[in-house]
Amino acid sequence: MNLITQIPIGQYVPGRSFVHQLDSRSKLLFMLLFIGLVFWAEEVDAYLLLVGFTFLSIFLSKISISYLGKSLKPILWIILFTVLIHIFMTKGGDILFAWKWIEIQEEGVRQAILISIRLILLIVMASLLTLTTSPIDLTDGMERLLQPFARLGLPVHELAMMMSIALRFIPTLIEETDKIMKAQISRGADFESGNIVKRGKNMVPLLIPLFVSAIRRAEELALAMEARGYRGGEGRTKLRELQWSSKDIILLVSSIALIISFIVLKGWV
Amino acid sequence: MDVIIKNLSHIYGLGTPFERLALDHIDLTIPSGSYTVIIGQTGSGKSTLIQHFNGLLRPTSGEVRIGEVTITSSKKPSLHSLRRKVGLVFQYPEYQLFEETVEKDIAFGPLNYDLPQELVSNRVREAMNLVGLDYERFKDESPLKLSGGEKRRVALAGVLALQPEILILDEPTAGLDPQGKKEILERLYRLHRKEKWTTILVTHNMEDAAKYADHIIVMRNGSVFLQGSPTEIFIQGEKIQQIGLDLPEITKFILKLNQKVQPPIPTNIFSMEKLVEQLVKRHKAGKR
Repeated sequence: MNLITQIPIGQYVPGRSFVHQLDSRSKLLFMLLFIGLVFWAEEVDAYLLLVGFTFLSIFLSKISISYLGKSLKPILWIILFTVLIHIFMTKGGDILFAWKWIEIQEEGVRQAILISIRLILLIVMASLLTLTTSPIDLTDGMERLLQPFARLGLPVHELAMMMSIALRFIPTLIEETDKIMKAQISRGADFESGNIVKRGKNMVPLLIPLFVSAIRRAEELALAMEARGYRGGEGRTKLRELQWSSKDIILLVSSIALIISFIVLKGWV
Repeated sequence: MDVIIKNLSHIYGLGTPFERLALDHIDLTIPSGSYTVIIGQTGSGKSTLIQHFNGLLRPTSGEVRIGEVTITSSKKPSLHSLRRKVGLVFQYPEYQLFEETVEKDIAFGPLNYDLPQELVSNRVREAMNLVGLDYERFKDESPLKLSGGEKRRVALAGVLALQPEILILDEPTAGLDPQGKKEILERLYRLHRKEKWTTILVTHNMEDAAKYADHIIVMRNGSVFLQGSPTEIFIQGEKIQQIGLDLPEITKFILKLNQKVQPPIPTNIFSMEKLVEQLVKRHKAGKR
C-alpha cells in the first residue's frame, strides 16, 4: 500500500509547453467558453470540431495521452451510467433492437454516444487546465477575474487565498495520511478487510492523528503568515504580475474562430 | 531473523510524469542480532529502504527476504504476522498517537494481534518501563497532552509492546533535546544487548553511528556507497566527506592529534572514555 504512487489526478505537471505558457486568466475564460460550446454542440460536425480542438490542445501541452486517460478513470462509472440510461430511455428514430419490453431506438444510441463524448471532452479539458497551470497561477487568475465582484463586497482575495492554501495542502495531507497509515499498519492495524462498520472503526487510528496534525498545521500557518505581516488583501501587491502574451492572442483568435465556425454550423449565417 | 536484500530497486510513481528511482539495485545482508546503522544524506533512499523491511513498500524489482518470508514484486505473502516481528518506528512517531489514554495507545499494537487482555496489560507495563515512563503516573494521561519527549516515548513503547525481533528506528531522536536523545539511544542499546534482537537505526548523527553500530551502511543516491564496521567506514574520511557527510567529532580529533604524535593513535576508538584510557596508557608508557 502506498498512496504516494497514486498521485492525484490533475496535479500540476511542470513544463514549458505552449499551453503551460498561456496566461491562467485566458485559460480560465477559454474553459468557460469551451464548456458553453460543448453544451451548445448538437451536430456531428460540431463535435468533430471540438474533439479535434481537444486533441490539438493535448498535443500542444506535451502531456501524454495515456496519463490524461487516467483522469477519466474515476468518472468511468458516471459515463457508463449515462450511456445506459440514454440507450434505454431516449426514444425516437428507427428501432434498432427489440426484445420483450426492451427497445433500443436510434436516437438513444446517438444521444448515448454524444453525451459520453461531451463528458469526456469536459473532463479532459478541465484536467488539462489543472495539469498545465500551477495552483498559484490558477488562484491568481481567479482572483483577477473575480475582481469586479469585490466592489459588491465579495471577499475575493480571501477566497483566492483560501483556495490556494487548500490546494497547497492537498499533497501535504496525502503524504501525511500515507505516513500515519504506514505507522499504524506497522503496529498491526488493518485498513483493508472487514465490513463497512468495521472498516469505519478501523479508520479511527488514521483520522484522529490526521485531524490533530491538520489543526496544528493550520495554527502554525496562520502564525507564520501573521508574523510576516499578512493582513488580508488590502493594499497587498503581487510579486508576479500576470501578463498577456502573444500566445494568449493566438488562443483568443482560435476562440473567435471556434465561435464563428459554430455559428456557421448552426446555419445562422 | 536475517534480512537479505537481493538486487532491490524501487521506483516511485511508476508510469507517471513523477517517476523517480529511489533505490537502485541494492544488495545487502543484515545478520540476526546485529546493530546496523544506515547513514546517508536526505533523499539517499534510507527511508525507502527500511520500509521494505516490513513490507510497507514492495520492490519494483528484486527480492527482500526477512527470516522465512520472501517479498518480490509479484509475490504477496501475508505480511500481518511479519509486522509483529519487525517493529518499525517512523520519524516523529508521536504523530501516530490517537487514543484517549497512554495505556490504550500502547495496547493498540498487541490488541491488533488478538493477544489476551492480561498479556497485553503486562506488555504495556513492560514497554513503558523500557522507555522510562512511570506506569501509574502516565497510564491514564491523554497522549496528546504530554510533552514532546514523553510523546516520543509513548510512541516508542507502542512499538516495543509488540516485542519485535527486529527493531527499525528512523531517526528516533530527531527534535529531542540532547539529554533525552542520549537517554533514549542508551536505553535502546541496552535493550538490544539484553534481548539480542536486531536493531536497524537510520540516523544523520555520526557520533551515534560510531558509538553503537556493529555495521554501517552508507547510502548515496539510492545505492549502497560503502558498508563495513565503524572503523572500516571512518578510516575512509575523505570519501565520507566527499558525499557531504561528516566524521564523528572524536575521529576528527584523533586524526588531528595523529598529525602531532608518533606512533598514531588507532582510529577505532569511538568513546571518550576509551580515548582517555588510551592516552593515559601512552602517557605512562612514554614516561622513562
